[in-house]
Amino acid sequence: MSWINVCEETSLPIGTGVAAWVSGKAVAIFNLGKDGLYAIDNVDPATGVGLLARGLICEMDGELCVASPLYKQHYRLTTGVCIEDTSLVASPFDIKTEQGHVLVFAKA
Amino acid sequence: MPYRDVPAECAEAQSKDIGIIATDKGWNLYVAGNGGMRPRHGDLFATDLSIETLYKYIDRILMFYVKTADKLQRTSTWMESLDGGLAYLKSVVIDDALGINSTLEQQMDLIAATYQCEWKTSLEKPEFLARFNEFVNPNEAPGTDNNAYQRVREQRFPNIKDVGAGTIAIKDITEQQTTEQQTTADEVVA
Amino acid sequence: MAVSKPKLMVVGNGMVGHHFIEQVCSLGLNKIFDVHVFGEEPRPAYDRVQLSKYFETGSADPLMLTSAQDYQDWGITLHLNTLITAIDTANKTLTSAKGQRYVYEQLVLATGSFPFVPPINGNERDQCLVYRTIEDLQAIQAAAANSKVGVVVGGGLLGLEAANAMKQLGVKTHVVEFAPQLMPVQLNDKAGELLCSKIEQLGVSVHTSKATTAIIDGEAALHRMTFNDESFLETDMIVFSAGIRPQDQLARVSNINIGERGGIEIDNWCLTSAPDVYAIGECALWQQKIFGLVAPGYQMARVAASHIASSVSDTKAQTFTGADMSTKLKLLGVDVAAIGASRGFDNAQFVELSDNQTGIYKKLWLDESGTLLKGAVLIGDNSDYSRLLDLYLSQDEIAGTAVELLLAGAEDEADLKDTSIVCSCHQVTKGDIVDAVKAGSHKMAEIKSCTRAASGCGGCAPVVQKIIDQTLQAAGLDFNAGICAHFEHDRQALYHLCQVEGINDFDSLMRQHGKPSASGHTYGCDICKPAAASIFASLQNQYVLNQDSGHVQLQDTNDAYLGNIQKDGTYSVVPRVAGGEITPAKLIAMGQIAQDYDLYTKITGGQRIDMFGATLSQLPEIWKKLIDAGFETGHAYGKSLRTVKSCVGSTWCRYGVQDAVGFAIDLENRYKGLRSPHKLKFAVSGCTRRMCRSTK
Repeated sequence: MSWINVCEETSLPIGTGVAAWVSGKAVAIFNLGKDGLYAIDNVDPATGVGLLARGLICEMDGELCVASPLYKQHYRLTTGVCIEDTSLVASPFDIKTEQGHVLVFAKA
Repeated sequence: MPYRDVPAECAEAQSKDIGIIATDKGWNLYVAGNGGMRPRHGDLFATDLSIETLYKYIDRILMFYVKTADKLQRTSTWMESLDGGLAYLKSVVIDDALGINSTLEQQMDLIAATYQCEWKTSLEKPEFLARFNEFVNPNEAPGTDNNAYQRVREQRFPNIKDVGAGTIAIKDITEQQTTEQQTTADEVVA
Repeated sequence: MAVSKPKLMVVGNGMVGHHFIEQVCSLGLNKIFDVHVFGEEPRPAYDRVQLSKYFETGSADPLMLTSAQDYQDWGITLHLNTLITAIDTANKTLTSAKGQRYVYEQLVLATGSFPFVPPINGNERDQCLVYRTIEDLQAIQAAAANSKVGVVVGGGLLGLEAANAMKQLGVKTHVVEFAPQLMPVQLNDKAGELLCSKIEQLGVSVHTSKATTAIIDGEAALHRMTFNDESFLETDMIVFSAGIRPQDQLARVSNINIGERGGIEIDNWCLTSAPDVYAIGECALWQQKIFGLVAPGYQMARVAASHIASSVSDTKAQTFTGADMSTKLKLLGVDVAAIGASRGFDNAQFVELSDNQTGIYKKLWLDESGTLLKGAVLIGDNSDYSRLLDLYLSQDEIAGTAVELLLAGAEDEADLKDTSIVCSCHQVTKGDIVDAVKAGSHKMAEIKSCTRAASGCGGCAPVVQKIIDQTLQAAGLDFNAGICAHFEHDRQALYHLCQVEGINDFDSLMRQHGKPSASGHTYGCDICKPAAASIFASLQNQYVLNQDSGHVQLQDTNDAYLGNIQKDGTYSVVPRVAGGEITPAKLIAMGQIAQDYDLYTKITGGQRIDMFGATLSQLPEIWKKLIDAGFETGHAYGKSLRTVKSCVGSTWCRYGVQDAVGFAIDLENRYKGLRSPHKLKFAVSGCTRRMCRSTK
């Protein structure tokens, strides 16, 4: 368990997502500018395909979410829990920046 | 009689948003047809038009549709939802009942004049290409998954996976595609 | 000198304690009494039934039922972080843990319950937790962050809720149950079995008939749980959720009568053995029964409030006559419902439906004559719950046979009687909701605040929403003109606003005409953002992936990457082939590219060629080659002009009268950049009019 340096802060465009490898796992990272960084599993739990980083960022009833590009389920950026079906979860990752580096916490 | 062997209306113009069929004197214009799952025959909008008039009418019809339709509303349902239907659309486009025709044409001129191939623009500006990197740190990637694809009829198919609404075996997909009307193939893609 | 008001003290600020305060306010008792509320927790009342929402949202805010401000507005003094440790029932005073004393005229105990932790050696080890308060959830979350495997002890209703939470936190979850089945209180064995298999399909492992004997150091994980059958399970965290016990400690030390197995004894007015002391909710014992659901607790709150009101005014007190324990809920995404005698009884008639394919199980219990519904259990589909509950509560004779009743399916909300209870927590009828809608409350949030429906356990929310929609529709009201929650405008209105006001960015559109979130965000959603992107493109036709204008963030899935996403996350590539006319050289170029990248190729209905299976990073390389070969984008990914299909026309066809292909190419080139509400297709036929008629 450790913090993994995935990229420079400057490689994260504001308002969209990018995917990064963290200890062999694909993680979707979203840069919401002044609202901070969020990281959840890149794999869409509904389909098993890694593409959540490519989803559209949404605000649903005050909660920040990403809409899966395939079947449009919404996953909360904070907890990864799907709004439409709470049994689907794209696990969240801890994320922080340090001296311009983006660090993601690898659980395993 | 030569007619019988000729598949008339080869392009299925009456099942399209805009359909144009040649006549001895010019072109007939059909609008708001639809193919696919909810077929609708296009309405005959005007007959024996010159090419110049055709462009004018199409400019106006499309811009009026873009301006007034609901989100994700096809031309067919738009036409059905228009108060006054075909007759109203004719009065707007042919008789300029709303006095907006020159604006509609100008707008279409602007669209045509500012056309760009988005891929060409993207390739010319490398900063736009960053988003096509699958990973910000591709060097950290684990080994590739060789089981992701299989070969069927000498082409590459995704391997069967439990993928949401698309849990269909490859064989079924091919059956579906061969029996499906070719006109809907663009919809399969979309 | 002003006469001081009599003092009404409430110990406990959970859901029931708070509901009591709401009753006090609606009866105007807060004007007559000086009301004080003592809560042990650091925050005012929150929704414990939906605790797992905390993990969904990561915040306690959505759970809050009230605020300190509300209490202040009502003129009620709220003492948080205050534990009351003793009652002097003779002198009518309370003592807090901080040593403060308070006098009361009337006292209500709403101390609730505490989680039962089985007396197992090692149950106090690190990361051995319970599931009751927000602080408990924070501890569970912290433990989950460094746990791979977790165990929930208890396979009842609360245990499965806890398991859901644990699973959501990304921990491999096990449920250990002492009984031979899940939910032994509510479900018969068969229903328990089915629920078990459904839950196991969701990746939660279930172990029944297991009693934990000890928790010791693990080898691969933090703990090892050993069981009575010699087996063991290693886990990093344990959550005990094996039932609740009434929190009667305060009453016990104050010599108020307690039941043999715990619980503060109350009568039909919720009065305890001490004068002017009431007990309500899960701490109260009525006719030797504890009610561990929120609806009976609310009922007790109403009874106690009405009894206090009757002492100071000319009103009649209600009495508590027991409560129905029927329940409907979703556990780990599985529908479960139990009504009345859901485990059956002697001499009962029954009908049973078990569908292994869909995982649906239903069993109805009837009296000996087979005409009165006495109980029901539903797994996998509880859409007929309200109809069955209505029949059970009314004890009307069933119409037709029990089998017909079993197969009747969901009730249409329109068929509910106006007197039918829709929200059993707050006793709200369908008629109450219909009246509120007609009086102008058209939104769920408004209905919740004015009728209280769906603000208890929330289980009735879908039914309430349907009743709202049906009532609005019946009244001919436009119930949702806006495109989404962020805009009250339809697309046409938004288009007009953008055109007239020259708006070309989402932030301005949202700030000037939309509804930014409470925190001032203008993120929008996957409905309004693509709609705005399409409108901007129709009006200004700028490059869609522009970062500076912010347009790139608005694009729908396919537009965002200029390709059509496929089920495996790859893209299809479709260059424009205007009018379907293509040179051999271009065909060869395309074929070469498809071969180089091993793309699946297929001719489309729009007379062009689709190449499937390009990864995201291959897209720019592929398009570079296509553009070098003279192709341009086909906009197959956009809501825009796709193709102008043509027949070969007069150039080659013996019957063609016009150059259909040449015309089609010209048309495609004029309209190819147009973004529209939906994709557009054209076609040009070069045959004569007579020919077309001949086909009809």
